Order: sequence, then structure tokens, then C-alpha cells
Amino acid sequence: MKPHVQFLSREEIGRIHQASLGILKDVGMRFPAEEALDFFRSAGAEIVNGDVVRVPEDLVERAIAAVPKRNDVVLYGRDEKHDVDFKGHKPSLSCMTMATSVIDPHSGKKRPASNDDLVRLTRIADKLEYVGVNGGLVTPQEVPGATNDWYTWATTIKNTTKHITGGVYGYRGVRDAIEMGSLAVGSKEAFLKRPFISGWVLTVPPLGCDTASTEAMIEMNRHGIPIMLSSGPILGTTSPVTIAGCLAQAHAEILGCLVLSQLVNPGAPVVYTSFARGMNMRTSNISMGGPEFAVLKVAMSQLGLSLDLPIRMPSMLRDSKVLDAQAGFETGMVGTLTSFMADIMDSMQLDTDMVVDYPDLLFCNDCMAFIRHGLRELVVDDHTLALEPIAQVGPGGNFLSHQHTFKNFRTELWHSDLFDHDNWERWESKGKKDIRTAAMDKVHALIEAPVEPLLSPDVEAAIDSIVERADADGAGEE
Amino acid sequence: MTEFVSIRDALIACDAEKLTDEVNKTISQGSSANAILNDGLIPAMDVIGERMESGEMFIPEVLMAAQLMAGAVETLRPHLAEGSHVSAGKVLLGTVKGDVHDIGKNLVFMMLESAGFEVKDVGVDVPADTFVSEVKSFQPDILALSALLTTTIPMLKTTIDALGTAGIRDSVKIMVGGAPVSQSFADQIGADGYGADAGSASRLAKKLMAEIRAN
Repeated sequence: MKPHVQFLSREEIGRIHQASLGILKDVGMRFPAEEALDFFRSAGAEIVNGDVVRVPEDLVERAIAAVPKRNDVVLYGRDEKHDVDFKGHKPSLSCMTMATSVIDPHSGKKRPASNDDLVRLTRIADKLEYVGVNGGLVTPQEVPGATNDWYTWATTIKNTTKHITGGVYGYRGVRDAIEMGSLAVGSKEAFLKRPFISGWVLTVPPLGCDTASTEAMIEMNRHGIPIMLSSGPILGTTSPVTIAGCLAQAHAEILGCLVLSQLVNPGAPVVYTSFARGMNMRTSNISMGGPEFAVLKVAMSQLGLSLDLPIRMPSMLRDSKVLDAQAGFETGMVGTLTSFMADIMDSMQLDTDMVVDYPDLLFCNDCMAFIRHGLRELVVDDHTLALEPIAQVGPGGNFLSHQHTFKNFRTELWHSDLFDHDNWERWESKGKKDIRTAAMDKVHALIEAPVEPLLSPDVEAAIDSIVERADADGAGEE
Repeated sequence: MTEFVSIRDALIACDAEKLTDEVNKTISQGSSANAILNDGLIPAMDVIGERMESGEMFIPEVLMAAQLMAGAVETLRPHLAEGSHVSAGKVLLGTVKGDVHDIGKNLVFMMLESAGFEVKDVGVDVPADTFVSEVKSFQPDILALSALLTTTIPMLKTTIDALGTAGIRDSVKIMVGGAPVSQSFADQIGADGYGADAGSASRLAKKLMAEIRAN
């Protein structure tokens, strides 16, 4: 059987869902964007206090019926060999976006992230087997702040053929990202047939959305660009401190946006995700590596799965600042628990989501290989029971040279590239490396290898001109 | 050598069917069996050894290749010139007195055999005197001793000393292994080599054979 982890029973999922419906109907949710209010108003929702929408249950039910289900959603890669689907359950990594610092791979010192870092990190993520979705792991800090999303889109589109998730600002941000994507595949028509980008939609808890995000969402829905729809309240701050209350509120916010998406364009693809998290009550620092984070991610996954939606969770972020034992345990606990239920795991950042350490990309990749191997369905059949080999080898024999071992060991056993499984002498002879050092050696090999352009110079220049145009127009400013 | 490239590739890929076909085809085309062996099969096993070192190939694949190699040699045997040397060397192997652990020893046996050694396994819980008499009668190039317990590794030294007393210490190279054994312990007791795991046993044995041939 395939293993699962559950914190909510079927009854509890039903109760939370009902609570969320009640919150939307009775309390409502803010959508401070004219077009959004028009959609809700035309659908018969009551609007109070200017921009608070009270969403009736039947609208939610219709939206849940209309939204594409797991079997029908594909996050397309620019190269179709990188398409990510949700027909089964094969967890993979995604690049968490928008860290501001890197640990310099040469000096070992923390410094502001640059566009060159983004190029290198996107290239590494492009090569790693268990990274399903690429994206702007860092936001370049030397470019204009208002248009840094534009720079990030340009750089990521130029440096990966995997699916990319990024931040999009308002209508303009979406349109320009679509234009860049269309340049990369030759035409807007080709792009819209297989949109290889998706954008974050982050609610503003409790029970709201901001104008730019709402408008970006509407624009993405209109074009069939998948949205990564998250509500990320903070326990005891922007939601009740109790997990159940936080779940009900976060699920309500996601449902509110889901309704809008399906009013804009029935069948617009939605991926269910949540940054619901805790806070250090001594300092107010956010935590995405603690036990309550793991519980929230699994429970939110259950709520999303109850709607038959693809699930993405930021479950391999670590509060630890460096790739140490704390980071390892946070990766193992939160990442593993969530991987039982979710499909895509945002990862590869430290200090919650602020810092990228290059070797961490290889570490997370190997962790996901480990997790993927560990969460496989345990198959019990004639082949795996291996009664014939057992009889052939007999008492006191050895299976190592048996055909059955030869044929199956590569798939049955996990063979790590990074984790050390040698004896002391062999480990010592290879340089006594801890895992960060071993990963760093691979990083240097990767960043020193020659880089082949993925797009023609003309297309790259055309993509850059969209960024220049945005700068000239003052895009991204309120 | 390039003419045997498909034989080499078939063995490296552990493709039994293709190897049999290619060997039969090459013989029927009039190639010499010795050339097939020396320029096809043996270089393939060398490549396999290198790939195991680099981590590309794994023990079950090396063992499978060795089985296929042995099968191919059987096919060639009637055609091989008289006295064709196919053994990489003779090894006497056993676990010392007081120790009944044999998993590691058995893996070493398989790895040595796969590397072309003629190996005699005298089993577990073997007294030093038995090793002495077996060395006299089997006349190995290498004596490979195993001990898994901290309580039995002193028997490694006892066994080596017994060979000295019998005046035959210098007739064999001695390699030792087992979880509590280390290079420094091996040096201390006067062994000629130490293998940290079964994977490194055949490399070590080949190195010791090279030392023997150099003298």
C-alpha cells in the first residue's frame, strides 16, 4: 500500500470546510479591486463596507465543480519532458522564490543576491533531477526594486526549460510575463497552449487580498495561467492561534479566491498551497521549520486533496541559518511528513525564506530522492515475495549473486550521490567531507562548467527589452 | 582489439544473451579464442573494475559479469591454447578461531572469484594450525583472514605468528579485514594489506599480486 499521514479525519475535514463556508458567507473577504467586485456582484454576492464580499455557499460549490481536478492539471515545462502532472503521487521540489541573500560559494560570506546568482541557481535547478518546478530562488538586489519581478522572469525564462513559478505584479506584470514566455516559444498562441509559467496568489490574512494580487490573479485566470493559490496566516497574529481555527480561515480565503478564479474563467487551473505558519512569540520572528508548521502543511494538504486539487507546500524551508543538524532535521521532519500528502515542495532556502546557500540545492535534491524512495508504494506480489529465489538460494546461501538481486537492486535500493554511506576508511580517503562540503564540490563543478544558451541572442534581447520597457514606464509602482 | 568491441560491451552491460551470441559468432568467424579472452573479456572485466571504483557499477553487477565471464571462458575452453593462464592468483580465505561470522568473508570470496582469483574458503572458526597446514598444502599466493569481533581480532596476530613459527610466513602475502580491523592494526600485527570492505578486497588482492610478481 501507499503510505499516508493524516491529522484530520474525514469528519474533521467536513467540519472545517463547513466552517470555512460559514466564514465566507457571514464574515466575508476583502477584494479591493473593481473588476473583482464586478464579477462577484454579477454572480449575486452581497458586497458590504465597500469591498468586503460575502460569498454564498452555492458560488463556492459551483467553483469547486468547475476548477480542474488533479487528473486534468499539467504544469507545462517549456520542454515537454519537464511537464509536471498530478495523476499519481510523485512528490518533487520547487524553487521557493524571492530570497534576498546568498552565501557566496567562494568566500562563504552572506551577501545580497545578484542577477548572476539567479542565473547560476536557475541553471543548477534546471539540472537537478528532483526539481520539478523552477523559479526565482533569489530576487536580484542590484536591479530596480519596483521591477525586480520583471528581471526575475527574464532571467529564469532564459535559463531553464522547466516550468517556472514567479511573482507577478498586477495586470501589467502578468501581461509582460506572458509576452516574455511567448517570445521563448515563438508565439503567444503556442505559449497559451502550453503556458510554462505560473504565478503566486497570496491572500492578505485575515480575510483579504490586495489590489495588485487580485488583478494579477484575474489576468492569469483569463489566460489559463495556473495560479499557486496560498493563504498564509500566522498563528495568533493573522489567524486564531489554534490550528483548527487557522485552517478554517486559511481554507476560507483560498475558497474565496477560487470562486473569483472560476467566475473569471471556469476551468482556470489552481494549485492549492498555504504558507500558514507560526511565529516566535518572544521575538515575532516567523517560523517555517517548527512542528506546528508540519501539522499545518499536512492538514492544509488534506483540505486541498478533499477538493481533488494539486497540492504545493513550502515544506522544505528551514528556520536554520546554515546547512547544519537543525536544517537537516527540519528538512527531514517537515519535508517528509508533508511529502506523504503534497505534490510539490517549495525548498532550497534557509533562514526561513531569506537566504540561499548553493550546496543546499544539491542537499534538498538528494533529500527528495530519499523521500521519494521512502514513500513508494510497498508492493507485495509474486515477484517481490521472491519465493523462488529464496528456495534457490536455500539455507546458508547468498542472494548477492542471484539474478533476482541483479535485476532489482537498482530500483529497490536507494543509491545516494551525496549522502555518505561509506565506512570510515573510505570516507576518510575521500577527504572526510561533511555533506555541505561534498555538495559544495559538486556546486563548483556545476558553476564552472560551460553554459550553453537555451534561447537565441535575438530572443534574449527581445525579452530584455520588455524589462527595459517596464523600467521606462515605471511599472510595478503603486 | 577494436574487433572485440561488441563482446566487451555485452559483458560490461551484463547482457548474457548478446555475450553468448557474440562469442559464438566471433569463434565461427575464425578469431582465436585466446585473443577473445585476452583482448575482449579480460579488458571488459578491467573496465567493470574501474566502474565499480567510480561508483557507476555495483557489486551485484560485478558478480553477474563474473558469472557471464566464467560462462564465456567455458565456451572458449576447447579452443584455448594449452596452458592458457586464466587465474589472477591463488587465495586461501577464512575467519579466525573463535569467530563464526561469515557474511563479510563470503562477500570477499565472491569479489575475489569475480576478479579471476582461484579461491579456497576454509570456513569459519578456523584454528591457526589449520591455516598453517592449509597454506602448506594449497600454496596460495595470498592468505585472506577475517575477524569481526574485538575479542577475536587478536587471533589474526596469533595466526600470522603461527605461520612465522612454522617458517612459512614469507611464502604468502597476508590480507586482513573485518569491522574492528583498521589499517594501523593491520600494520601492527604485520599483515601485508588491509581491506575496509568487500568492494576493495579484489583491488587489494590485485595490488598484492603485483608486488609478488615484481619480486
